Amino acid sequence: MAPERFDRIMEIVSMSLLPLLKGTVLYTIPISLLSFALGLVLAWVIALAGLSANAYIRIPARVYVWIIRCTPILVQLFLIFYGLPSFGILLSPFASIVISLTISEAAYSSEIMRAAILSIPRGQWRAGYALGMSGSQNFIRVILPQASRICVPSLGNQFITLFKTSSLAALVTLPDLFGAAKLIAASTFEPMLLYLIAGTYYLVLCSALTIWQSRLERRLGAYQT
Amino acid sequence: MTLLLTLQGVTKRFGDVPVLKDIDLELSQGTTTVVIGPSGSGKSTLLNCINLLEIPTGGSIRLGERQLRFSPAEKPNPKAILAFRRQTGTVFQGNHLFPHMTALENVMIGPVTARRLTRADAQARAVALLEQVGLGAYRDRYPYQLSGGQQQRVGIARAMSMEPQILLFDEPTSALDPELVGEVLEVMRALSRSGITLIVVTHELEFAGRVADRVLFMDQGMILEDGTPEAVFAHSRQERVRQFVSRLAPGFASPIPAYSI
Repeated sequence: MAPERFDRIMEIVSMSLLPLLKGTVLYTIPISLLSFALGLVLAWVIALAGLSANAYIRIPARVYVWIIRCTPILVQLFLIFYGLPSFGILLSPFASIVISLTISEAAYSSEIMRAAILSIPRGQWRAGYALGMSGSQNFIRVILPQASRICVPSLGNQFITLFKTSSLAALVTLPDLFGAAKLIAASTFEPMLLYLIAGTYYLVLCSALTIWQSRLERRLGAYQT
Repeated sequence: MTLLLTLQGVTKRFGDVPVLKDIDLELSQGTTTVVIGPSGSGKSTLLNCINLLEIPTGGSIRLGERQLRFSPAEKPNPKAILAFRRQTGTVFQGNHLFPHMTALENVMIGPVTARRLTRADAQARAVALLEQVGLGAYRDRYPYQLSGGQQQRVGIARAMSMEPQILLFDEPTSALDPELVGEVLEVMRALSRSGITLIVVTHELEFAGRVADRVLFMDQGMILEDGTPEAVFAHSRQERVRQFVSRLAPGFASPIPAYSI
């Protein structure tokens, strides 16, 4: 490698460091955390609705999950950001990406929750009822604690996926981690270098998340069935 | 003796399949009744209709002061079902302990949630119950840290935690390794002597012979034979009963019918 080339690379690496860090701290992390939190709340409602015996509650929840899971999140995002303005609804880029991530996160996570609740053996319900508990007491004291532990690994995965998917923010003009790399790549004509740097950022952060997830799993696995 | 439980014309259908056919039964307080019979005969369904985990399709059940009537058209209201069910305690074949709770918490959860006892009260009682089934030292263990027999004894303590009028055992030893059966039967025998009313569905005829005041033989949703262990095991006139008993405990039943033609 020619020395000029090496100097050029070092220069770009060091000048991109701060914008990428800013993109991560100001956009990627807040967007991920916010959409995950909101997504979980919505997922919880949809999971419960999807388990309801009442068809008027259950079917809308199932239809929601069906539509969201079977359309690309990029299409949903563009509908919100570029489509809604034609109905007079103008949302900021930040709101658009958070809403679209929340919507899809809710659909996927609600399925995880629903499956976890359904996976608790029927005998646990029966034992709770036999002790004279009502349906809701049974659900809260017996079923939910067991189901939530089952959820943790899958929801951890969901968060890691969501963290990476938040890079779609760049497509609605936000300078998040990926967006910042994209901007610098365009101005320096060094796409290979910039996207490698951005990829490394994601790799490091997601590795940290993976480690944290496996710790959490071990802590919650205190009992076995 | 005081009458505790009365079933009148109790029927249960699953769809078109009748599982219990017009069962009439009266049990006195403090007695131990063992229910035997081939699988699919309706033994478990009979228990599940007494604790209302299954709602009978017809007939009526009275337990203590409470009586419920059933019809295919409408279920009794949930409050009445709960109040009735709280008078019963059930021990399941596969113990169904709550795996996320210790032995002590398993025995406390019913009183704390369904009877709204304070935690301190519930804990004092739970400790006493675990002592009673010989597991005082194991109170802080989770179910997976206990043997099958110990788990089932926790199951018995849990069933008793609601101070039921009647204890129902649904094949409590069928899922256990043979060497663990004894400790569970021992606890049940002690209960039987303590004056609690028990109904036990089991294949342990020897236990029935020694502990039961009364044995019911069920077949195809009906009570085919009803009497003392001696009468049912050794002197039944029903071919089905004799066959069943001799297959389960060859040395137990008389090989020759007690009567001849």
